[in-house]
Amino acid sequence: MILVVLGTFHIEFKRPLTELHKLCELGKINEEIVVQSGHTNFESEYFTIIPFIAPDKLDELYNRARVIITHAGTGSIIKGIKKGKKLIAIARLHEKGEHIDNHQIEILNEFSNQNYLLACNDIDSLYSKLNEIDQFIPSTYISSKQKIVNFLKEYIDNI
Amino acid sequence: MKKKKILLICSDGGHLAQTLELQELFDTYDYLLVTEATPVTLSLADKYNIKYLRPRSEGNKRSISFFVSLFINSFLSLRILMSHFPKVIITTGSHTAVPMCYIGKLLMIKVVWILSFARISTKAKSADLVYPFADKFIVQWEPVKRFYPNSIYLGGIY
Repeated sequence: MILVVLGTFHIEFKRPLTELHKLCELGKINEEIVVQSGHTNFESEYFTIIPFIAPDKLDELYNRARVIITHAGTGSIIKGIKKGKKLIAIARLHEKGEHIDNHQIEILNEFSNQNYLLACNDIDSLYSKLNEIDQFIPSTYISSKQKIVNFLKEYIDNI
Repeated sequence: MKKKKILLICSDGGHLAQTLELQELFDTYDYLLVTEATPVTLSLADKYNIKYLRPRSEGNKRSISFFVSLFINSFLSLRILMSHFPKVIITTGSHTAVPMCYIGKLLMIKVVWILSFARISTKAKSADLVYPFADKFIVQWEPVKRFYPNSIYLGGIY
């Protein structure tokens, strides 16, 4: 199953769906596709489209997915990386009206460089990324959050 | 001994995901989580001590509804602070948290802003509004420190 995650931001992000629909029409993809669509309106007989998914159900979908195609939102990406899943990430772009600015490109490049995911910078390359992903072995993510937690606890305790 | 009161506020999406990484704070302190009311956040009501603000309006324009939401959320933020008066407001952003931070500061509550994990080397508009008066301003990546020289780099929250 291919899981597509578009996030919950209040702007549409049609590009991945348009491309996937096209690939399905051409018979290049013959696999179950589940889409968490958020605020993106789209119809396709090839997808199961669900706008908003409760965290535990989304977790199950992440676990079940063979590959996850996600917008380059940190929450969506980290969820997949922590589970050691195979991710293809696409940045929402400001010039295409997909986000308020281009900050998603930063995390996309950083995580691609660190081998956590495959970056799809050009939507036409999505199909070749889907072919590449089988061979792709992501790096293991190691959390360093205890530093922030400890800092905050010490700060709070001393207020 | 009574637990210290803290308030954590964030927008939906990645900001919320980052805030939920601070579970240890929820366990240690008398916390209240404040976020936008959306289909996903509403499903968290049984799991967390949570209150809601009005969600962001559709699209990315500063429309009339944006300012109406801002006004209503300012009022709701004040009301929340009156019922759960914390020692500190901790936020991962973004704009949802701005009224709460301003009102909190006026009420002498400490304000801690944690710049989003997504901000590796670019500034954030909402963060810029609070940075001047935040008691602590934390960044998760070193490159972005140059925009916020008084910030503390502590690495990732995930």
